[in-house]
Amino acid sequence: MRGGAEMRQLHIARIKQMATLVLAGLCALPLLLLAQTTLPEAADTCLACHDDSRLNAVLHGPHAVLSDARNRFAEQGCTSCHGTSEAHMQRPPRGESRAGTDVRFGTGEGGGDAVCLECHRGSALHWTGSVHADAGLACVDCHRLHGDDPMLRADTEVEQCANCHRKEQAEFMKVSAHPLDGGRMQCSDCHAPHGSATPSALARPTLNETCHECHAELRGPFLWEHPPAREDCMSCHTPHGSSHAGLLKQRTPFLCQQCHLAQFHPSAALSGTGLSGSSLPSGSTSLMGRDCLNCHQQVHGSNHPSGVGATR
Amino acid sequence: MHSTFVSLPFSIAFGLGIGMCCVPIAQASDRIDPTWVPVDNGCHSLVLTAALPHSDPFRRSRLAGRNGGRDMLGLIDLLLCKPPAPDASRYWRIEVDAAGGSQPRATLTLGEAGRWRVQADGKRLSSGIEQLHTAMPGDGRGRFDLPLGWVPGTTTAAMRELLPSLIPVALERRRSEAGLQGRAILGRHFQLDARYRESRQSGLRRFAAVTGNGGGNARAILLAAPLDQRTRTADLGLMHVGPRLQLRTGFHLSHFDNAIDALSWQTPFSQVSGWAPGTASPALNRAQTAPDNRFHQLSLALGYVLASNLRLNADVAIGQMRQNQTFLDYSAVPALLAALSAPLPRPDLDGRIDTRLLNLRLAQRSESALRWDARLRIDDRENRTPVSEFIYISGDSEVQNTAADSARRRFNIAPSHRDSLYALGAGWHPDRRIGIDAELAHQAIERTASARSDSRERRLALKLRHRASERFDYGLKLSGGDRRGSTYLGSRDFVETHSPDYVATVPGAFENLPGLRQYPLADRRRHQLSAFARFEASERSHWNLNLGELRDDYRASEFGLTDSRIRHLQADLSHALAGNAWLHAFVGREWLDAAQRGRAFQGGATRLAQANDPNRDWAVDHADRIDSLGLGLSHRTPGSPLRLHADISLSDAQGALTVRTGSLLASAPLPDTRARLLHIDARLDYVLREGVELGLHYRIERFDGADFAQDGSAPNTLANVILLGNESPDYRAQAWLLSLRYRF
Repeated sequence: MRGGAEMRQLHIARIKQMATLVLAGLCALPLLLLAQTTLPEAADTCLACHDDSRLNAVLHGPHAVLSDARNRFAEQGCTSCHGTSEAHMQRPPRGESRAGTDVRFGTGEGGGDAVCLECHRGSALHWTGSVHADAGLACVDCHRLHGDDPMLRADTEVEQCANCHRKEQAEFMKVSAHPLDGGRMQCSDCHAPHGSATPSALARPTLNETCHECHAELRGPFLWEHPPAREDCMSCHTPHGSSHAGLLKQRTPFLCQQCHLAQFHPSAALSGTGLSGSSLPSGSTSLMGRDCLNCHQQVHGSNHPSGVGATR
Repeated sequence: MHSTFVSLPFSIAFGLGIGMCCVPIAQASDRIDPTWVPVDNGCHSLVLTAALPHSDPFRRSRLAGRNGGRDMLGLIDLLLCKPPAPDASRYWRIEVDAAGGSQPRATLTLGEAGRWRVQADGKRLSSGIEQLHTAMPGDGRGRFDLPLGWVPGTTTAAMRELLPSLIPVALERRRSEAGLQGRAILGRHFQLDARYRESRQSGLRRFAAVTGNGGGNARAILLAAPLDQRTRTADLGLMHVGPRLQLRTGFHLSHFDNAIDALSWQTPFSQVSGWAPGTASPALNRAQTAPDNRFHQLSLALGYVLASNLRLNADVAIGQMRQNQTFLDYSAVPALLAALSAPLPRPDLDGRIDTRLLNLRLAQRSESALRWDARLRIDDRENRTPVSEFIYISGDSEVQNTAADSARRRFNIAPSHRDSLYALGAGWHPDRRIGIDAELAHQAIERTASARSDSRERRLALKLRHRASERFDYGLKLSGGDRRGSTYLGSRDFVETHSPDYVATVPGAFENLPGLRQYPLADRRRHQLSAFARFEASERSHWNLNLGELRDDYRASEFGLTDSRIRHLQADLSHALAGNAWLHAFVGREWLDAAQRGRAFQGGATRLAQANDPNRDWAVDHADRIDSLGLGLSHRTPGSPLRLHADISLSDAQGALTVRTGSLLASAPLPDTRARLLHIDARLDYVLREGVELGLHYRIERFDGADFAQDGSAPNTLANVILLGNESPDYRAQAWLLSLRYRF
């Protein structure tokens, strides 16, 4: 005989499964609405030469949707982004190479970004003056316009960012790191690559708010605060990776002793004399095991009335 | 929870199959010849993987975490999608990753290009499993009882039932996330964004459960404490996206709820000198876990083109953090509660921090060579949490001491700060080949309840970028900063949080050494240098070099961190070895050096004498060196059904600690430390026929470490702390994976 709670959970699970089935079935319905039509003449003209699968991939993306008035593809085809490009359309004199399109999307070239920003004005909000903009990056340095955009895929975004951010890539390989492998986390979970109101282009208005987005248990406020944690998580932590546990900047207990040198054990000189020997028990509580954290568990703040020393 | 989550991708696949079965018929009747050639859009693939992990569990990658006790693991990756097309603005995409494993991920996206988009997603993360041992496994809801027949002792030496009582425990933090987000384009100039996300943390983590009243009398047992926390976040934003003005108003809320309010445990220690009667084993002790909290924020972000190439950005955000979880009692021991003479001053903290942010930026970016910008940022955190006096009981082990000069009379603090940044930048970019930039910044931080109520830092940065040729470019960045501020009052926290009568009894009226400067507050000179060079030998050969140094000189710090230097050097290349073989290689080294100083002193009659005795000085020099190596090799011959791929990554950290002490202190060398993490992925794919591939994959993850604090540690290693024990933190995880990929 199953208990009431168990039956209730079973019912909930079944309802969730049914809802999933219906949802999944519904998502196939758009297929029924598809009907393929011819492309605008302007696009056909381009495709006469550019019949390349990599370029044609744009036809499977949002930039070539005829009914989307923002991209003007229905009226102008490829020229809506690449410009009318009359010189490009002319056969070049013998021995000369063909002129490029009016608008080009390479790094630092002919106004491609302005074309992107005409539609993607939301991304333009903090772009001007942002770190990436001032580094001379063009939209296409990160984004792919004609096919699957790696920046929009959880499993490829990190790899794309790492193409430039090699130091951070190396840090994520360290023993203690956020789980960016296999798309489990992404750079954009913390950073806003198009710029933001923070110096390091963080996703939230401040560094601590960005950290607390996932680590909300550390937000407090607490009865017994640890002021450096309240002000700046990076006082003790390094965000991309560390060879010390818990993404710490330095090994404990020495990290703690960089700010805490009170009488007795906080100011003790910790050295090989505190190591455990062959006869047990032995060794310094301040040096072995989790050292300071053997007792001072609540280093981010305690809310217990007797938790003054971060031990409750 | 687990079974429902795992069954989700199967349900999606099944439901979608039903939905799709009639689609080809409908399309066939409507089909007309397209004028463009359809391409493989990468949609519709199914990957079935049989994984055979052995040895230790993985701690990284999608194989990390618990596998439900099964030896062999079945994983399913599924991709189904209908991308938009010129004549079909609606699209959808279903992506399932690693279903059946411990870290599945699923995403469903629906939308109509230019009009709306909805995405639902879910995933589960694991921190990886750490196998340890405990004598007190707990009931899963935060209660830990001693095993039957427990023999308490003042130290672990006397606990003869400790080792026989040990049972294995697997520490693992799991995070399950589910989210729903959507965007609606409302006409030409407006869009609405909404996002909801729920994250639940579960599993077991270490928790130091302390008994005792401080100093040398504290005793502790490390517990495998349960986690059951939930964070819900929601964002709602309305954005105007005009050609000159972009304006976004947003509301953000984040609610944190902890289903386990407290951890309770029976102390395993017998009566220790200084403990009150009735507090020894098996008395119940209690600690509070992270309290529930709330954060709400309203924001406004504005971008406006003032004139040609002159842009103004303004960001304003006001928010509030609240926390009002009911306090636990001062103690969980009935005898101590009965003896309380001063109750809690309030039932809860009623904690409140008001947050205000203003960010202004005026930037000019034109086609001319000169560019400039001006920035102002004010981040204000006003802590309005009430301050009260608490007469606490340390470690559930002493009778409340309400004397006027009691050290247990403590006032909480409510630290506030205002961080203001003013910056002016200018650059000269005569063409796209060269750019020179400079920025001058001034940062001022005002604090309450801090040793330094006012600190100021001036920073100057210079940057150069030069594209010497189409194949070679390089850059250099130099910066320097000088931080100083108001008089450093190292004893301020001590004086303000204790009763004046108690402070009067403490020789010198200080807690930390007066010569200590806490490094986040201390005077600091900072120098930074970084450089890069990129060389494109050919279209098939790219080389990069990066190096840098960050040097911090805490020039006024007698004690604490006095010096820090971080250097790195990295090189990488991407190179076509032969026709269809690519090599990606990455190598780097990082040096982290730091120096800190201290002086050992004790309490009582010798306190001041020792605190002023340079023969009791000590110093520690840290020298960490971290080598990183990455190697990727891929090969595929056109026409060949075989594809090979191999990835290796290595992070090898070696640390050296040099301790020097004054003549009155004894010291001995500390062993060097090492943490080496190696990953190898080797994959072989064989195309059986068009759209069908067979893959064989071998993965290894190996950690080798040397850490004097961990190696060989057992629950009875220390006298006063019962550790969870970790005889050898090293692990070696391996897996063979056989996969069948079907594209349709």
